[in-house]
Amino acid sequence: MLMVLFGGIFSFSGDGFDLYVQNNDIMENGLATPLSESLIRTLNSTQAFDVKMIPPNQDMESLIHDKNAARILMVPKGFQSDTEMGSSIVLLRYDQSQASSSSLVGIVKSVLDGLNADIAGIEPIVSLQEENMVSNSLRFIDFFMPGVVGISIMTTGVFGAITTNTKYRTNGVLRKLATTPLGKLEWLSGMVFYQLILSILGAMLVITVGTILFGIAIRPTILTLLILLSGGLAFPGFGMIVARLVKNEESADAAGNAVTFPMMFLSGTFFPLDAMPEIVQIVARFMPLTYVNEGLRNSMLLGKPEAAFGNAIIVLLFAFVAIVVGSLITSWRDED
Amino acid sequence: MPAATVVEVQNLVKRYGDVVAVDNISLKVKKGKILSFLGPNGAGKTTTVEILECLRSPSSGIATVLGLDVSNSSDQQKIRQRIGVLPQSFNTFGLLTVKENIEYFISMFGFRKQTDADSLIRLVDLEDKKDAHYRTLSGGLKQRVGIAIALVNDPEVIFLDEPTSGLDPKARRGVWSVINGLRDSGKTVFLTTHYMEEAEALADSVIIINNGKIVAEGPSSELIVIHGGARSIVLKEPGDSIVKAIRAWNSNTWFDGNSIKITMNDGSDVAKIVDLAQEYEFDLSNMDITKPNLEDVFLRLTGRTITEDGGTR
Ligand SMILES: Nc1ncnc2c1ncn2[C@@H]1O[C@H](COP(=O)(O)OP(=O)(O)OP(=O)(O)O)[C@@H](O)[C@H]1O
Ligand SMILES: [Mg+2]
Repeated sequence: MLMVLFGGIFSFSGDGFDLYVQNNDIMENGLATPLSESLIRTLNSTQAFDVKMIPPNQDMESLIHDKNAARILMVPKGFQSDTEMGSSIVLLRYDQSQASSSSLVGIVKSVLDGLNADIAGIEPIVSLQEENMVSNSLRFIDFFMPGVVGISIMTTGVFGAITTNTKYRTNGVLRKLATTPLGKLEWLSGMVFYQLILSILGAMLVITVGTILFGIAIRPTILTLLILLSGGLAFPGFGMIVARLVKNEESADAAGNAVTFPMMFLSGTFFPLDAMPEIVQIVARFMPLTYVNEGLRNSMLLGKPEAAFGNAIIVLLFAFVAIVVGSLITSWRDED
Repeated sequence: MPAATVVEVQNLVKRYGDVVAVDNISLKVKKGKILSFLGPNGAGKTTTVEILECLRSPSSGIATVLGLDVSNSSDQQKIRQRIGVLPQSFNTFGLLTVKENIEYFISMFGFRKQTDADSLIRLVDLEDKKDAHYRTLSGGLKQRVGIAIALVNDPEVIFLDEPTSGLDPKARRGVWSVINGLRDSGKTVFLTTHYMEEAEALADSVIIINNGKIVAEGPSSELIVIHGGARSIVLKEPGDSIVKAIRAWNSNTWFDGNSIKITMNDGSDVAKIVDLAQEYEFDLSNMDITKPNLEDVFLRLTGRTITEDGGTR
């Protein structure tokens, strides 16, 4: 539900509309040729983009990577002389998966049409060469999607553990179970395992719905599964600890909300953490959801398996500690 | 050969902070007997049975079940294998059927002592409800499911904590007949209750507990002879004036608002009451002469009676 809502709002809003322009058509005196100069000025005057000049010969790949550039226009060397000879090109590289792409192409094309009309040839002289690229600048929905998966496994695990433990403790079923040879660890591991399965199923559902509804181009990997598994263990463990403080079934939901809501907002679910105040960034480091979110993004969106593996290890550590502490403090027999 | 002792408790004490829930009690239960542990709310019944079930640990004293020490953790595991428990306010998985619940608990005890769910269902007379979801059953039937579950490991001793609390008289009798069936199959039963009638009807012997202390023990007939006192004259719905007159004449009376009970010293008391009845125009068809029962025993020992809901008055 939440995902549909946020997804709908953000998938169309797009990010800024930067256009990186590299002019390689430089004269011997170091100045740009008049024709290329005027082309860029025209582009700028459309006000459709935020034109950002980059020096000639700068490496495109590093630009894409470091500046998250999603649109680059390149005027090749010899543009003016080629035009005078009757045929020239301008190269446009952009991320075709982005919603803003078609308007970008449209605007650039109309600028070039204007230029061609000025030159007044019969055949258009300047043509546009388009090239696709995979940009690093994510649409919000792409960024948000792994966060939704994270929320899903967090709420399943935390609420599942709290309600199961509280319900069976207050309705007397645990008291009966405690009189049998069943041990606390068997009961708790069964409970955690059950929540784990629910979490994974929930996550798969979210991913499927997200892919179909919003066309999110994510690529779940084996590391994604590892993150889901470790999160699926960490959150029920966390829930067990909270459940110890819950008196009755009525307050179980409130307790669940009290821990999941702050985590949801402080763990980089909706917005990248580095855009957050420093204090939030510090707090986030202590929350398992932060590493789940990062791990999911690293593994299924950004293609950073090493980083994802690191995240998985941290989440597993959280899981281990939570389950051990949770089991120790969960009362079974001899609760006075 | 005297019957073996199945449960033995010596100087058992359980404190919760400042509250002494069980105050230095000692008792024995012989094999094949039904013991009624009778007392009002808060007397310490549940605390005692939960110590025997290895759910709580004693503050001091010794308790053994089947010769095994409840304070020894390796013995505890053996005890759990060999006892059956119906906890107070028993509950189980509401969305499983009667049969599924029983099978679930059978599986809990491994394969060694497997009993067959259907024969347990027959034993507690629930054949027509075996596929009903547990949560749809009435209170009395739920308790019977609980008893069936208490029997899944073919236990040597069964602890039933207030098996009929809150049930109507008909449902209560249904549970009683199941418990009587346990006696016939030779099981030892440790039954807690606050119903005098239940203790009297089911038990081979009764232990009365009040404020954590044992106040009397023995077969109910013996307790009645020793502590119950003489027969009583009971007048139902007496007028205020006759109550006043009776109290002025005899201090050994008990009035619960509905009827007045006069413990007899000798036969002349009957003549006196008949005289008073004529004087105050009391309808003598509302007069009864009753034998003493456990209620009188509890009244004489504690000065109070146990009400229907388990409180005292
Ligand atoms: N976990 C506990 N912590 C503190 N006090 C307790 C606890 N359990 C029982 N008590 C107290 O110990 C006393 C004995 O309680 P217990 O439950 O054994 O009584 P009971 O005879 O079973 O009563 P009931 O008929 O109400 O079930 C009571 O005063 C009760 O309040
Ligand atoms: Mg009790």
